[in-house]
Amino acid sequence: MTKVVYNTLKLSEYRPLFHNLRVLIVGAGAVGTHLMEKFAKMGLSPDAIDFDFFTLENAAKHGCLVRTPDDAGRNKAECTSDRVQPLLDDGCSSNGIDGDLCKLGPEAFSDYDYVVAAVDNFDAKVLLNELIRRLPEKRRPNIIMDGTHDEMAQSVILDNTEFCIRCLIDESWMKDSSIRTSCTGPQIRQTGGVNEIVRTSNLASSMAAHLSAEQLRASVVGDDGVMNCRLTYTAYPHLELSSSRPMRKRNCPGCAIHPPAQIEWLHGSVMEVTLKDAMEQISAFLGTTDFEISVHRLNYRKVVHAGFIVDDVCRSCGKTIHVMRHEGRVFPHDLLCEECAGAGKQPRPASEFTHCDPLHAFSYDCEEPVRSMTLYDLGYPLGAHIEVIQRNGALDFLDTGKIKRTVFAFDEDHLRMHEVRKL
Amino acid sequence: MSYSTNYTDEYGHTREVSITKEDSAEALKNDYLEIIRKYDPRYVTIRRVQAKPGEAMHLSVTVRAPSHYLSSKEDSSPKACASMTADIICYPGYPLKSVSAAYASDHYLASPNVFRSGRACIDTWIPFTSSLTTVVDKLVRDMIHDPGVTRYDSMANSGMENWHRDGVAAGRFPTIQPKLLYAPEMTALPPRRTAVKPPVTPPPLPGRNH
Repeated sequence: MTKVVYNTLKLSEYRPLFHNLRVLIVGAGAVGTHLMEKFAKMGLSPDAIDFDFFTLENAAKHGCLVRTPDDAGRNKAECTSDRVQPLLDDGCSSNGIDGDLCKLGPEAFSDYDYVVAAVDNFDAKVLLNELIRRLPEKRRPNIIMDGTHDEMAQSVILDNTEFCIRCLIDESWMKDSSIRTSCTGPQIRQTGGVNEIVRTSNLASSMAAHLSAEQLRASVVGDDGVMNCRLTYTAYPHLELSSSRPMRKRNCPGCAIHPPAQIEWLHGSVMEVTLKDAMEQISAFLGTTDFEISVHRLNYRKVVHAGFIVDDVCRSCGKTIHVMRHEGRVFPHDLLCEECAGAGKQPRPASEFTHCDPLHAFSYDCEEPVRSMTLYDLGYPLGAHIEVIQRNGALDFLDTGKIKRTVFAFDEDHLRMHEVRKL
Repeated sequence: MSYSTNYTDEYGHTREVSITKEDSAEALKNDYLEIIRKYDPRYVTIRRVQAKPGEAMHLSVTVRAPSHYLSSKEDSSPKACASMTADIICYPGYPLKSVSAAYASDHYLASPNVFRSGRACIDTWIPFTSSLTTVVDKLVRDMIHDPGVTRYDSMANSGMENWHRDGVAAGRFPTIQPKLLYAPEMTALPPRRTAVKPPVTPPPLPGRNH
């Protein structure tokens, strides 16, 4: 691959400041593609994550980094990452991850200096906020959140000291929080009970990306007053660029989220370490095998998924099936037996069946097939905080004096973010 | 570690609520003390048993009163018994996370609201409305076949509907008066204390005839 050789004499003097910075762009769509290009050319190391695929319809909004029609059908993150490779400075890298936020844990963000939320729905923003807030402050990246509406573009940069992402979201918007509000999807949002089509343009998307890039640049260079500010661009006929300082929302559920008091480190990554190996490491640390590992708790789209399904019943014929997946990664079509799936039958409502109890914790006496699975396959996200409970003879959680909880994380998870291609 | 869920208030407004693990343990303790106080131990025994991994609390609830059970998935002939026991499991995150309740699969309650696997069908879990106390109350009254708690509109075992309705019509159900399950009412006010000082009669007011 032929790489671009930049003439540094013609570029900004502060450019070397960017060379050691890593940025994660969550959502490689209309704004994200413009950001990838800008960050690569600024001399940063940008990674991106997105579960979606480019379609020809997206061509009117995404950046020219994406080739039309060649890239139609490609994963957005993977594609943009590939396209910026020739633009990267020496020593910089870019990785595109085909995956979604549900498969990332707090520590996945700890190797980034900035994380940009270029996503189009509030559920993803709320989940991102929770993940970032669970990260201890010293490893917490700065956040940039941007968006567009009509020809208006906006970008906010925050360090989580004065307010959080959730503070910027009106709780009434959470009623339809999963609706995608730009780019693809229904493109409809409710305002005062009335459905309105959300229209944006490539100009607005590129302007949002520009504002985000400018906020990042200014904060790296060290300009005072950049952090915790919102920039808003308004197009003609009221052409304006304004700056404001958002405030903390009263009783904000996002601000109520805090990191664990103490995190202990295990060696490896959830992608490779099996439950058996993890238990041995934890056992060596705690000096006992009398503990249990809580199943990962995923709080997404107003539902908490906290069980690991070993067996369940086919949602069509009711026959027992072997599932071996975390609740949060199971969809109705996954719960069909081979015969029903082969016959193209549709799953019926879950309420029509009695279900087997999922596992809520893994212990030393788990069955071997479970013990030999990797933690990632057991439902723990990359960069997970893993809660281990020692009961110390307690009958139950009422014996609070005996119960001891320890939170563990893996020391290589954050590095996997620059390598893994699919989650 | 905190737990969160969405809570819809009586006006239909939904908002996210979070509780800490300490809040969860406190709620568990309060509700446990409440059910221990609420029932008459002559009829209802509630026992904490060793919680398994992933469980926050495991209770064994026994009602000593005439009841009926089924002994297998295929069984459709209720058999009489003198007591019935159910297991109730609370999970970390209670009361935001629902509890589960089940009978032994070879000795489960003959009821339209108990699945053939032995699992008890409890109503949809609504945070801050549903609790351990509401679930235990439903179960213990179910065990005496009290029609006051039977949901015929959401049946887990429809084969028991006619049997249950016939029992109610014949006056056999509930098998004992539901009020016997509950502990006698506690005295609402403490006994009156004797006055320390004798009452003093005020002097007659001037200018008045007494």
